[in-house]
Amino acid sequence: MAALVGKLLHAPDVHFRLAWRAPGVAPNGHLLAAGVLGAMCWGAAMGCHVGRAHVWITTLKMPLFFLATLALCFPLMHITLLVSGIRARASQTLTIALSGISTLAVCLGACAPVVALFCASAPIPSMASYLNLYVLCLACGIVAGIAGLRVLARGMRSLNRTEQVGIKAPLIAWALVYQFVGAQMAWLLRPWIGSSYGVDGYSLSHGLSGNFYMGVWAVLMRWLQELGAIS
Amino acid sequence: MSTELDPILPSSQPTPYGREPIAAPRPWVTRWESDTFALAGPLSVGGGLLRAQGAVARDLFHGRGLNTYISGCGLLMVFASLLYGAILGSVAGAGQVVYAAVKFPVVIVGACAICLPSFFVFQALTGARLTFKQALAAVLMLGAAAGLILLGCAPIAWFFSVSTTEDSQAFLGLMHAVVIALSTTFGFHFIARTHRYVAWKHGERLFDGRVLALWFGLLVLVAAQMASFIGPLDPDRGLVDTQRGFFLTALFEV
Repeated sequence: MAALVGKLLHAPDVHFRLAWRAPGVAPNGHLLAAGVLGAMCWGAAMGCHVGRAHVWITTLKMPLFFLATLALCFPLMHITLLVSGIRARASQTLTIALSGISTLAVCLGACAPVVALFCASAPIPSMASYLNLYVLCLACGIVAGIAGLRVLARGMRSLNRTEQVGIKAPLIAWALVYQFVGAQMAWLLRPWIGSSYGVDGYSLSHGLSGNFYMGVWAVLMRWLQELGAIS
Repeated sequence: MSTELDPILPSSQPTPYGREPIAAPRPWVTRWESDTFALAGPLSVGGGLLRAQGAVARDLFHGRGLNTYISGCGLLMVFASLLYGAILGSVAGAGQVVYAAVKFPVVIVGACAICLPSFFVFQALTGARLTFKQALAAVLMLGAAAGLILLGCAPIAWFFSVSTTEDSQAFLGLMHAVVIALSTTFGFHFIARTHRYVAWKHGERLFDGRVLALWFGLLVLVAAQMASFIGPLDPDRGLVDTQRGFFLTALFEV
C-alpha cells in the first residue's frame, strides 16, 4: 500500500499506467485503505478540539463522509466521463475517483498532526478560536483539494489517449458535483470541529435539520439585513 | 449487429442543402467518426448512447436496428422517469411516491407522443429526409439520453430529498428543476449533434435544425402543461385526478 501511495503522490502518470495494465480489485482496495486511513487521521485531529467521545466519532465520520459522497456521485461522474468522450469502464472511473480522493485524504492526513496541535491547544469555549480553526482546516482542505484535482486530471488524461477531447469540462463537472453533494453530506454529519459550548457527540435529528444551501442563504440574508442592504 | 464506418465524402463536394460541410472536422466529429457499437438488444442501447454516439447516429441515419433502438430507448425512458418520479414524490411523503412514480412517466411519454406527429410532419415539410420510424426513434433517443442523466442524478436527488427538512422545499424544487433542465438539454444536444454529424458526413439533412430547435421548445411547453394537468407532485390529487388550467398560472401560484 505504501508503494502505491508513494507512486500516486510523486508519479501519478506511472500509477495510472500500472493500474490500466493490471486492472483488478487490489489497486482500488489499496487506494481505498490509504484514503480511509488519511481521512481517519484528519477526523481525529479535528475531534481533538472538543476531545472525549468526539475524537472517535469524528474519526469514523470523516471516511464515511468521503465514501458516501463518492457513492452518491459515482453514477453521474461516470456518465459525465462517457458523454465527454472519455471511454472509460466503470472500474477505471472508480480508480480515477479513488486516486483523487485518496490523494486528498492523504494530504489531509499529513496535515493532521499540525491541526491536532492547534485544535487541542485552542481555548474552549471561544468563538474566535473556533473561527481560527475553521480557517486552518479550510486552508488545508484547499491545498489537499488542489492536489486531488491534479491527480484526477492526470487520471483522465491517461485514459484520453487520442487527445480528441478536453478533460477540462469533465474535471470541472466532477469537482462541482462532488462539492455540491459533499457540502450537504458535511451538513448532515456535522459537527466536525465540534461545538465549543458543551454539545458533543452526533445526533441524526440535528444533522437532518435544515439544509446546507438554505443555511448559507439564511446567513447571507442576515448579513444583508445587518448591512441595511435589504429590509 | 456491427456498425461499419461509411466512407467520408471529400469536403469539397457540394451539398444539396444549405451549408457546406466543415473542412476540418471538430474534435467531437472525429470522435464520433471512430465510434463503433454492436447493438445487442434493447438493453444495450443505453451503452451505445453513452459510449458510441457516432455509431448510434449512423444507425439512425441508415435506419439500422430501428426496432431495437425504439424498444430500448422506450424502456430506458420509462424506467428513468419512473425512478426519478418516485424520488420527486418522496418529498411529499410515502403515499406520493407511488403516484409520482406512475404519473411522471405518463408526463414524459405523453409529451413525446403528443409532439411526435408535429416533429415528423414539420421536419418532412422543410425537406428533412426521415421516415416516421426514424422520427419515432429520434424522439425516443432524446428521451432516453435525458433519462440517462436523470438516472445519474437520481442518487444525489434522493440524498437531498431525505436529508432536507420541509422548510427547504424551495431549494428542492429548484434542484429538481435544474436536474430536469440539464437532462432534457443533454437529450436535445445529442439530437442536435446527430443532425450536425449527418450534415457533415453525408451532406444531407436528417433533420432541419431550425425546426428541431422550435420543436424542442414545443416539447418543453407540452411537458409543462402535461405536468400541470396530471399533477405528479400534487398530494391532494388521486391517481387519475386531473386539473384544468394553464401551467404558467400554476407556476405563479407556487
